[in-house]
Amino acid sequence: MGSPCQIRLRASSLSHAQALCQPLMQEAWRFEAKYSRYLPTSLVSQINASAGAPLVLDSEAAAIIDYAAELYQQSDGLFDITSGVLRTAWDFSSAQLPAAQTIQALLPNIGWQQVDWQNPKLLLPAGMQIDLGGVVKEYAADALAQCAQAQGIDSGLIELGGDIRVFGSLTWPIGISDPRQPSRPLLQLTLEAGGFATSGNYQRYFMHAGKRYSHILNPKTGWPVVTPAGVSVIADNCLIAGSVSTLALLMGEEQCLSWLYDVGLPFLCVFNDGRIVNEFAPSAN
Amino acid sequence: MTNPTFKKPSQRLLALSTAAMALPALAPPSFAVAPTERTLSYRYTQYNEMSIDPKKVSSINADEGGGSNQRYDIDINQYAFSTPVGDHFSMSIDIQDEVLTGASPWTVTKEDVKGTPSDSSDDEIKLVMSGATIKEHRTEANLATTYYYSTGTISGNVGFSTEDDYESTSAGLSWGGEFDDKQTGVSVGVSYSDDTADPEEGSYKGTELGGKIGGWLNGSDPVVGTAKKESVSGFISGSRILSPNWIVQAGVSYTQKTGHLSDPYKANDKRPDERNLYTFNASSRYWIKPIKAAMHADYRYYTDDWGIESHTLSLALYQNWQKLQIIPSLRYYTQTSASFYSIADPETTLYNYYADDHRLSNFGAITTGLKIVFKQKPVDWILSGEYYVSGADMALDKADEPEHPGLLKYTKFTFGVEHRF
Repeated sequence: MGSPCQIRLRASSLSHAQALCQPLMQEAWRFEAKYSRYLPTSLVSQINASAGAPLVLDSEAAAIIDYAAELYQQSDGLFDITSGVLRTAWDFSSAQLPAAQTIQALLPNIGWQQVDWQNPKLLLPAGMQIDLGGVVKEYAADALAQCAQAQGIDSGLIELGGDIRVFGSLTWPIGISDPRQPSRPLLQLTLEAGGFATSGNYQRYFMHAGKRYSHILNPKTGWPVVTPAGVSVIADNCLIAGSVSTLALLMGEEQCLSWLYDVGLPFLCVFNDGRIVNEFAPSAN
Repeated sequence: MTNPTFKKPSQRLLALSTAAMALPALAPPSFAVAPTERTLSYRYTQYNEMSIDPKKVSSINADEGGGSNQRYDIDINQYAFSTPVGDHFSMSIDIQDEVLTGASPWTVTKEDVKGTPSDSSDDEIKLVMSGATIKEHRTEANLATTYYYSTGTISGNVGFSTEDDYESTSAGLSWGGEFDDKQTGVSVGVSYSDDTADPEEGSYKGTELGGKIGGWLNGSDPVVGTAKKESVSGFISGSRILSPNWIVQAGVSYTQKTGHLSDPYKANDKRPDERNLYTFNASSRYWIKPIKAAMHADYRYYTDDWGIESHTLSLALYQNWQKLQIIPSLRYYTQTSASFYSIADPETTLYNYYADDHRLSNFGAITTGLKIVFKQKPVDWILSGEYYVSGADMALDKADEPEHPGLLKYTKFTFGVEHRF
């Protein structure tokens, strides 16, 4: 998953908990092996390699694509699983702006509307690529929780790179760090059965000529979105929490609040100037 | 704090949640998945009808020795077992054993203050009760099997019931299917039952009583040998998931009963030998997340060609609190009387059909209940109580007839235990 993950379970003994974790870790590795765009044997790599020819997907992958298509609709095209190729132009380690022509040249290969998706048949036009990173990690947290419950584990917490799913009767403490200073804790809250996810621009960005360029790119223009520093969302499951926080970031600093209020889930939004909008319950602090 | 809830879910959230529910790990539990656990359960229920005000009971009695004001008490023991069979089948068996004791109203009569039969409209209508000697033992067994396939289920069941003077056999077949990404469910079913009654002394008592009560008692509908009746029924219903928190369901049913439909234990009772019954029902299940409770609301409309029309409205809140589920409930029921029912007008007996059974009268009823389930895996403990009260003044439509003195009040207590393994 490219980030630290943790599984916490309530069990009668440590060894029992460790034994129960095994199938969950296998399930996490299965997601990694199937959906990572970095592994040449993954399904995503296979889809990208066969761009130009139709491919029939299994039901899980098809449901994930369907869900991503819904996010595309809901975000008015800002969330687009075909936008990954923009990363070839933006090198966040060099802190150099790409040439405008480089971006322009990539744009024709971006746009979910160009993809012929008739569940379960996918026809990705030649030259295009997909990246399911924006949904799979969150969904995997939910899937692991379901897997744990199917084993009879009555309570637990699954965290995959900051995206959290809690299940069962216990409540679990969650700490949120300040997106502008990740080492500084900002807020602690207690999560009961449900999902929690944070999206932020602090992990990857660079400063150029006094301007902050985040890794959140607008697939229509190819340029970074001026996002809030971080958005955390609580929902019934991790997938929804992750989607809502990701979409809020994509909406940009100006639009994100109205969008979050429109969705109606509890959220915490931290702006680059340090302004905080906390719409978790008042007792969350 | 607990998970905060901000405001009601928006259309945006609904769209996302609906799309997410198509994912295997987030799909709501589907009924087309065969159960993976065995369930063994036991329930004991005590049903007690409250005794009648002695002033409402006539001194005349079906058996010698004075009218009883005690009504039915029923002790019910239920045993159930269900188990998966392979990946696609489940089987279940239910056995119910009940013992009924007490007395029941035979008919009504008008008496003056001295207890002498009278025809005057000023006098009170009193119940003529059977002696407190009835003791019935009834055993019922039901066997059911369900086949689960990817988009639906097919179920079949057979049942047998036997008591001292009564036997019943029943069978049913139903199908349930899911469409539209499991957002919509449809089910249809048919059932049949065949009953044979062999009343011990029932049908003759009426004639004897006729002499005691006076001129206008008509006698019962005599049973010669055995009385048979049959029932054929069909239903169709549909359900729809409106949001992750809200499911609605509606259905209609039709039942036709034919045969000896008069009550052999009533003294003034002759009913048509056919009855056509129609129902419409609608229900809503709404999950209220902030309080972790599900609101169940149910409405049922019933009508038949005997002239009875009824409405039932039930509300129940399934409140979860730690390992407890606490379910307060409230039910209102109202019905109009059967066209041939009367306790006030002796002329009724001139008609082809007549009855003075309180169950065919115009009345309303309120049931309040409380159920508590304690879930300590793998065992659920269940405790419930219910109080039912009925009266003519509680009916939605007021009738010209006086209130039937036999309208019931009862309590029902259940203790149950359910083991999953």
